[in-house]
Amino acid sequence: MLFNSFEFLFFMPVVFLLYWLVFQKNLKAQNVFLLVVSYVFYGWWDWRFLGLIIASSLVDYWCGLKMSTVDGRQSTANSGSHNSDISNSSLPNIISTNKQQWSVDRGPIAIGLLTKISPWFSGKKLYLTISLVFNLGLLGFFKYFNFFIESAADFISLLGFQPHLSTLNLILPVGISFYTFQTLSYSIDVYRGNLKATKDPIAFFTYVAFFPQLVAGPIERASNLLPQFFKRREFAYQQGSDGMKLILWGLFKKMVIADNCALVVNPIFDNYQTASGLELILGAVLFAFQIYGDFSGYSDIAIGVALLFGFQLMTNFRTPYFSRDIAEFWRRWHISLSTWFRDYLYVPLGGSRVSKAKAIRNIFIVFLVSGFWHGANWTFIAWGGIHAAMFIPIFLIGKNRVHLDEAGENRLLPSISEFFKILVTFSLVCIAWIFFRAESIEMAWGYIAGIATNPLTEGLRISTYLLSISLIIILLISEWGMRSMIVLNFKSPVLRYFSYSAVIGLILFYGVFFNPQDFIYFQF
Amino acid sequence: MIQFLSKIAISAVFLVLFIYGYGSFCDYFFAQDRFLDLSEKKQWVLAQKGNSADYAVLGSSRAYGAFDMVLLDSLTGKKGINLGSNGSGFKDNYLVLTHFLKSNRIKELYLQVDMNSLNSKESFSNEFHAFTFLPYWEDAEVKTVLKEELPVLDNWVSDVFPEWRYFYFNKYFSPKEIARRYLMSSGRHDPYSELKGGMRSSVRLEEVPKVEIGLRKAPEFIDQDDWNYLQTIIQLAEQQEIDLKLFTAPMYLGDHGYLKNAISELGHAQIYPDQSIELNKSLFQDQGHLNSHGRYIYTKSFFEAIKEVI
Repeated sequence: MLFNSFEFLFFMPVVFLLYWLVFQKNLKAQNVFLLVVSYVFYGWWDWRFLGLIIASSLVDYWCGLKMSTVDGRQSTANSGSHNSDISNSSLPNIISTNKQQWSVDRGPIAIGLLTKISPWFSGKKLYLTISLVFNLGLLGFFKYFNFFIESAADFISLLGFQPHLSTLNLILPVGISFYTFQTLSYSIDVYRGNLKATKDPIAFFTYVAFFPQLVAGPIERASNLLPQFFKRREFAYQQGSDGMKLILWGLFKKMVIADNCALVVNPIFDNYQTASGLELILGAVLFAFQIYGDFSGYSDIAIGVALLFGFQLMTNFRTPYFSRDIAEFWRRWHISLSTWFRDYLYVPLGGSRVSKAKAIRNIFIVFLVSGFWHGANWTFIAWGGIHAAMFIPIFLIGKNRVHLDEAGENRLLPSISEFFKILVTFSLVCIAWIFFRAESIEMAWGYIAGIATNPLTEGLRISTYLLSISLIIILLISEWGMRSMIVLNFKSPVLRYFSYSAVIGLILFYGVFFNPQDFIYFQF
Repeated sequence: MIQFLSKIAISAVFLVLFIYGYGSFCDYFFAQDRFLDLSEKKQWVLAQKGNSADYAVLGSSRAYGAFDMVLLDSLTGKKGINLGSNGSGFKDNYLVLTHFLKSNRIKELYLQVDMNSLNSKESFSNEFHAFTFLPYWEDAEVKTVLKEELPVLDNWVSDVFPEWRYFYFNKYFSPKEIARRYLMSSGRHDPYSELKGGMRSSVRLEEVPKVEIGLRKAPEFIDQDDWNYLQTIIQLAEQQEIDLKLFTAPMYLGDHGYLKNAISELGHAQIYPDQSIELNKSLFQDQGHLNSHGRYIYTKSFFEAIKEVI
């Protein structure tokens, strides 16, 4: 089910009213209800893949419990800096003590054998390994199997042999990259001792499948979201109001900005060999706003919907195109993913507290893996590599944490120097987006070469792009004005109601209802 | 909670009222003949009233651009009108014909059939111009086809609150479009009436820059949806006692073997272009469309062909 679909228009109010008016008195019932509606939300797309989410939840729930048991037996298990007790014993637990004991003490015979074979496969590591292998195995199979087969075939061909490898006709389950990372964060945090395993399966399963952020994030850490399932939730007017504002703003970004940009971007990328140089530049710039509107719009709606149900999700975007360098861009773009990689990949690799050479290696690994996370194509890896190449010089001169404040803070406009830096950063980001959007590396190079070699304005009809450009200007002015506040949360009631009306008007008259584009990040 | 729900409910009521008001205005405005844009071929066709023609031509841009209707009228001694328009598949054709027959009469219909129109989804970038017919929602035929083709309109919401549909195609029914049509209505440009819906032709081959004609293979299978709508048009013609003939507009290096086979069961007279036209590159502006001299040659050739068919 899409947030911008008619189904959701009916689904959302019904779920909201039942949640607050029928189930509010019983926290457990509320969680069960959320779990059911989350599965309905996901199953609307393809119910068969619900099995994957349930399997992933089961494995991580079980691994978490096992790790906590081992933790109890092994005094050296906890290595984390803090310990969040999320299985509040005062709350009702639907697993009885006996059942819990059964689930902890008994396990598959194969696991018992493994523990005898190797000391590495023992204790917490065993269960973390099971979680990692299962989740990354799922992701690897559904998302990367064909890529590896095709790349292997290409490599074998390069060596002069005739490969006979066949690919599988696999459907990529929507949101698999998001929920596998979410469940992995739980297992890793429990393993590290940063989090206590939950004994409440309903809360855990709902945390994995929570419908606002299930298919395209934000990728929530268990330490942030899971405890919220144990707290009694009261409806707060301000929270609901903020949620509605975010939903409205998210719909504007998706339906007005992203979908209108898509209508002009797709033909440019489809005909990049014949498009004029200026059109190619426009194509890259408009794609930058398409993907921003699309993804950050989804995140805004997700955060807004979660607020309506009394949940606080993490901020995923903070006006990234106002960044003054690439490092700042990555503190503002897809924050839930970049911090995930920071905490679960970059830091374990040694982060920046190693030799310069190793730190550079770590940065490259994180950016390349981050690119690869987006999709099984060399274009995404190249996109990650380009960002790494742009980030490393700033890192080497120690300027990667210079811009920690907002551009133009406490000022109406940015300074000339800030404006110039924003422009340069945005241009660099746009070059990288060409690789992200292209279907192959050859196409990306062809596109970039076309900017330089195709006639600059031949066949260009600027009127085709006027609407998108005008809407982007509206977006930029609005985001600049609201960069330090909750969207549309103006103090003056007149301004507030005017802004609601203006956004609704823009959605009604300029939103793309006919032939709407799927959310780009669904494919990841 | 009550405060929140009240505000949401009030906002929703305002939103619904606004959509209802705007949609009702669109119902009134866009259905007015005086606000139709006569410089757009489909709208020119929809604006036709009170014609009593001996024959009409119906089809896509290939049918529209194949005839010099003034010349054809003079050759046949009959009164004709060309209802063909760009990108029209059989769904468009069916609704155009239905609308046209509500306030006009014809005796003969020449319906263009080719493998492209029988597989419109593959051949046309936009095979059905649903938005053109949106203001005629109350016509049973329009409502049926729109509901069939656009599942988003096939629900109870659209039955009780059809005014929302204009926002689904907001690009074509925006305040800007209303203003444009309103301002235009005082001095409407009507390029089609004097040409009877066709195009001009020239007796001599004009000097045109030599352009390589790109060849695209026509589809080799028939889309069931298009086939059904073709049958519906045939039924409509029979109900209205219109003499229906099928024809194929010339296509550069066209091969109609598959089409002949496919439509032979329909039983209506079929007119195929002379091979000498289809082999003559100088008569075409692109693979499927004649240039003005090609139009002249084909109009005359078509006249000879219908004499034989008749």
